[in-house]
Amino acid sequence: MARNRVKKIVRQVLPILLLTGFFNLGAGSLLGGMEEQMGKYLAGTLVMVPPLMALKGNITGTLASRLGSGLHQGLINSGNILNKEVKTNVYAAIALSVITAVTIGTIATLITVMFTGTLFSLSLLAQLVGVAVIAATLSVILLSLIAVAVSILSYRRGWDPDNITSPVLTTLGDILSIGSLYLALMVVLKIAGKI
Amino acid sequence: MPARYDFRKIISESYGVLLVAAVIGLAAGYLLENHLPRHVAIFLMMVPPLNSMGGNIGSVLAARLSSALHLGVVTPDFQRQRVLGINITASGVLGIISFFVIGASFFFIEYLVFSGALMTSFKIMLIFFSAGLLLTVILIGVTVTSTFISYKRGIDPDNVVMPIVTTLGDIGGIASLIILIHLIGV
Repeated sequence: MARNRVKKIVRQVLPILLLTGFFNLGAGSLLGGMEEQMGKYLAGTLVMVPPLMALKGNITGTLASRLGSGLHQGLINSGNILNKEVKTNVYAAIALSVITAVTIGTIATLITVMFTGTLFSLSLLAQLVGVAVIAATLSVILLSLIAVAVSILSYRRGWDPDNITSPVLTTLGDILSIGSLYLALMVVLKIAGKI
Repeated sequence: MPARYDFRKIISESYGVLLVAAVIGLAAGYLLENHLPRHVAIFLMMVPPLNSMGGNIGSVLAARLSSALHLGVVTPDFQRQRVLGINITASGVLGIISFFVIGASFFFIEYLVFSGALMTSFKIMLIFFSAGLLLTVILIGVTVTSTFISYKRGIDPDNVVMPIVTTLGDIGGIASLIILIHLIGV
């Protein structure tokens, strides 16, 4: 009896777990490919990887759950995707990502200067904050649009968005956020004239 | 009539939690930048799958436990309970199978893509698999403890446990990886 219940849980969870694992293997190989640029050109980038990944997860996760509740309560009209309530939620998610990314970039600069012997310079601060803000905003915009589309479309079909939006976001989230980080690093290094 | 969404309210209520998660994440990042062997891309590749699978195992357990508490089939006491046992066993089994499968993929990546030696590739697989198991054990402990404590204090576990589990999943994943790299060596 107990054995069967364990089997049932494993059978239901394992496919999605393995799917996220393989998707994140893709994210991981992007991260591995960035290693050279990060180490050679911009110290401190790696420090920002976990907080930026957590940031996009937290912001879009709460957005998804607000959207789900809003649709259920009838606050959000599922007939009109870009209505005022959706816009307020998406703008709030973007604003949060900018504010928190500035904080992350600043603390990462402090950590790099304090612990790795890199000299403090305004250009280091500007580059790390720049990478954090571009990466966070880009991934949050992409993921917010996905969150809005998935929740509204699933609600229209009669599916509960609470069950669908979050797994979709966690599966796509890491690969999109590492991709955004890669792009942000390239843009900032290009502007700084390092590549 | 429920309250309408207020831009400022969303920002002010969320920033505190985000800041705490960011600071803990930065600690994980510091570990990552300064304690991983230099220029070994394969270890960097391990971070996203480790963190996300660990986070998922923990959050699925958290969701099931809090429903079980709300339904009354589990009581928040740290003792032998049938339903609690079933849930913990299922999470353990999930951890073993999924970290083994992705670990095996790392064996092939190291052996075929990076043309590593057979022994090295085997060690790479072992490092990922054991780091995943260590992380699973840590996360099951953290999830059960934080769910029970928040439920006992009258806080809905649905609102608190998830951020705790995912944040600790990030730092725990990187810490487990570093511990196993030092134990097994390459």
